[in-house]
Amino acid sequence: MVEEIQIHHTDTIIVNDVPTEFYVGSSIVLKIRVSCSSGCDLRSKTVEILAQDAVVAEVELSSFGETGNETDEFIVPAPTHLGEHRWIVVFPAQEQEGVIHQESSALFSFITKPHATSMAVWDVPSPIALGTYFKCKVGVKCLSECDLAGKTVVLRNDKGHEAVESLLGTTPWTPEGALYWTEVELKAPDVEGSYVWEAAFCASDMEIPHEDASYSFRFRTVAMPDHMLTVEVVAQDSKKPIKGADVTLPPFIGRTDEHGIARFEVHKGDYELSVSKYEYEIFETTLKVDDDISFKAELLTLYDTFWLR
Amino acid sequence: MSTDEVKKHQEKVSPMSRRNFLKTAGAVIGTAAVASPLAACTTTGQGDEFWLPEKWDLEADVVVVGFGGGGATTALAAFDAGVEPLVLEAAPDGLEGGNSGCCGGLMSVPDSVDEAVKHYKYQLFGTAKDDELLRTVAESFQKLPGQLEKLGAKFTKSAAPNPYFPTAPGASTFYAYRPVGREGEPSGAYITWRSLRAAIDQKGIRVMYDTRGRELIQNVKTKEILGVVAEKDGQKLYIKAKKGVVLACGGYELDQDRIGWYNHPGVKFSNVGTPYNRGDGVKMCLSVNTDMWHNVSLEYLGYAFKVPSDIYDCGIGAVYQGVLPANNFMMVNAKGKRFVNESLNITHWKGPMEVFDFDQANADYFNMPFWVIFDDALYKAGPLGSSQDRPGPGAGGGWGTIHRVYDWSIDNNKELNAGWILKADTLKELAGKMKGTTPGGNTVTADAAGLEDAVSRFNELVVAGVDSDFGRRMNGVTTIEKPPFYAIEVSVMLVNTQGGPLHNKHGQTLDVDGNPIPRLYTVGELGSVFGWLYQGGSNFPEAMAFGYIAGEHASALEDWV
Repeated sequence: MVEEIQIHHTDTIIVNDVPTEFYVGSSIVLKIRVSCSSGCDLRSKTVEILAQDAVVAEVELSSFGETGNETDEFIVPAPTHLGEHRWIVVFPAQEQEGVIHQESSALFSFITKPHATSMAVWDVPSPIALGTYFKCKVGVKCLSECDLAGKTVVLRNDKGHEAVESLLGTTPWTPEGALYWTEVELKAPDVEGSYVWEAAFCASDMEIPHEDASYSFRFRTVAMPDHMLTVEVVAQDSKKPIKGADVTLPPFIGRTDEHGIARFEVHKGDYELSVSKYEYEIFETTLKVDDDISFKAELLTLYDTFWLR
Repeated sequence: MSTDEVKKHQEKVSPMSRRNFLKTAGAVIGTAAVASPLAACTTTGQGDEFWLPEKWDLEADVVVVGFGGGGATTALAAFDAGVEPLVLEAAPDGLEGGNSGCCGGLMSVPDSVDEAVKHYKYQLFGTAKDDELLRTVAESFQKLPGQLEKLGAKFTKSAAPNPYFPTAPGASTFYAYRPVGREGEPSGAYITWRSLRAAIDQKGIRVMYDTRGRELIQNVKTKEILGVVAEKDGQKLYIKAKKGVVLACGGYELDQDRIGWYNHPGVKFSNVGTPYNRGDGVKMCLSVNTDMWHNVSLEYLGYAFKVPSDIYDCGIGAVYQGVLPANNFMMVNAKGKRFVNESLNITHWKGPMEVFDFDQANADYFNMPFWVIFDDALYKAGPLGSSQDRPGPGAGGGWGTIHRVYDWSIDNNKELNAGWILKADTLKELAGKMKGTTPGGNTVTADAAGLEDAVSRFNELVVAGVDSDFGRRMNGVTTIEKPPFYAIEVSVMLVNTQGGPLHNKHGQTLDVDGNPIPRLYTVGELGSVFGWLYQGGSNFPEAMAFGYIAGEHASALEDWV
């Protein structure tokens, strides 16, 4: 007696949309469906993800329904090197109790690209006295949130010459973020004017490929100030100090501290002083500075709704 | 009015008293029988009068569509004239009031009628040629504070003139009348509305809520308006108006089609007023051959946060210099570029608006979508929108604030977690998150290099103290530099539309030949007189003043049946 063997065709597809670009080492999300021409339940069988003959993942078909057998969504890491990749999802042929399920496969291609990086430069004082040293902060962020502690940043002046090199610190700027930063000290130019300098991050020495990044920042230099101007900001009704008020007297800008004080080293001259703070009317006056002076700005509380009709 | 006075009044009015009305309405509304078709239905109609319904479900002397300032004063005038008004209101009880219930509440009242007319002519730029109408506006505005004070409202008159256009003829004749509320209450029209609503309730004037006026019933021979087809709970109600119909149901702010046809195709505004202004009045008037004016004129009010505004159908938040918790912000388009003077007050603005610049070559708007960009200093300076405890400055004003549509968190974190506020450590990362859709339907992501460059340039201008790019007032403006950075998609806030049918000094609606359509009146923003330059505090008194005028005029008519 000859035992009859049945052959069932299968079809393998990728259910979800798979992007064509991934950052190196990032997560590739897949969900696979295998259907049998005779509608067989193939749960507990596995599919394989092959990359150049190497199996990068093996996943079990976990559900069975009208459309066939499906895996849960699963994650496979993208290669950690740059390039074009062709991966195959394979349902291997298998025989059980006189039924052979034929092999089927699905192909997908993608490229891996370096991690995107970006930069920020902040706390740049402005204006800066000619030839003086000033500090500012420089940060680099990998959009894949890689740890960049100890990596190098370079700051270049407007002529492209390196002004300073520094290593990124170990603690991100915000606890939930991945902006690694450092404080640098720079020497301002000796000539009065506006300047555009550049901070740069070179990723060539990183194990996982990253993009280089740069960020231009601007500042202005002025002659050495003559006088100290102290602006005290209080509420007109309560006379209590107002913290965090924005104080501008171009080109000088600042913010009041917890005592309602903002201090500026300024030159002799006339200034248009403005003080603004949420829930107060903007305060404006012209200030004449010809000595070290203190000025008290009393802000009026705003009460009105602002939609008129 | 005492209970006895109310009773006497009810005895004077039509045979269908309030009590009868309630019985009838209860019986009718409760049955499917109200869905009786108009006798268009010529075979089953009443002889040649095929425009009449087979039966009327309700009747009143004066049917008022809309329960805002104009509708309220119309009903009060009709009641005081000894006839019976019936008010139909699209909103539910508690959300009525229209824009008059939630606007700023200021009334610009002239001391001199002659001077006011000169000023109105300047403002209207030739779009209102009826001097009698303009005189009536001025005279009725003068009477209005006194009329409202009889209802218990109180006002303060500004010590000095309060003109929007100080150099215009007659400008110095306008004084600001502001409502006086309870101690500690922020100013607003809701205070005046409280008096109007109380007067309506006290007099026992009938108001049907959740009821939209949808069609006018017109005698096609005499052109008289005989009643209204209303819609309540998905059913039609045929309501006879024995003396007249007064449409006081506002403009078309929520009618996206008409916004496109008359004003800005494809643009979705954040509406700062009532969400019940759905263009019903305009549609009804078009169906009876009225002429239309002032459709060109929209009134804006700064910018709102687009996503929550779309969710709640009203303006949430306000992006405006002096209203946000700090001034270190800028607005950018999808190229990452600044395109506008962020300190320009576009409230009732008729000058150029870059946000509406249209790219003919690509058939889309240059500057939409657009975002407000700021840094951590502003994020931490205070709530970016209004909250339960803080309905005042920065609240955004309007319907959303008055009705507590949304409570913005004090630390902005709720909105950050909701995805309304985008956050990133760097500007490049932020740009990648700034995705939006143009009015033409194209999905765009902000350009990172453009954004970095724009912020850098902005900071340079801040230090210079002069915005040589867009003319922004830089006083009190500081730099955007400290991470994290934030973006919120914004949209233009729309206060109200002005377009609609023309009317004369009695509030009578005019046809295309300039003749009154018998027994039809329009008041308020449905065809406002103020159709071009706008003096703040005009629409609000206009609605109420013409409500009184139209209510009195309609009440004096003989019944048509």
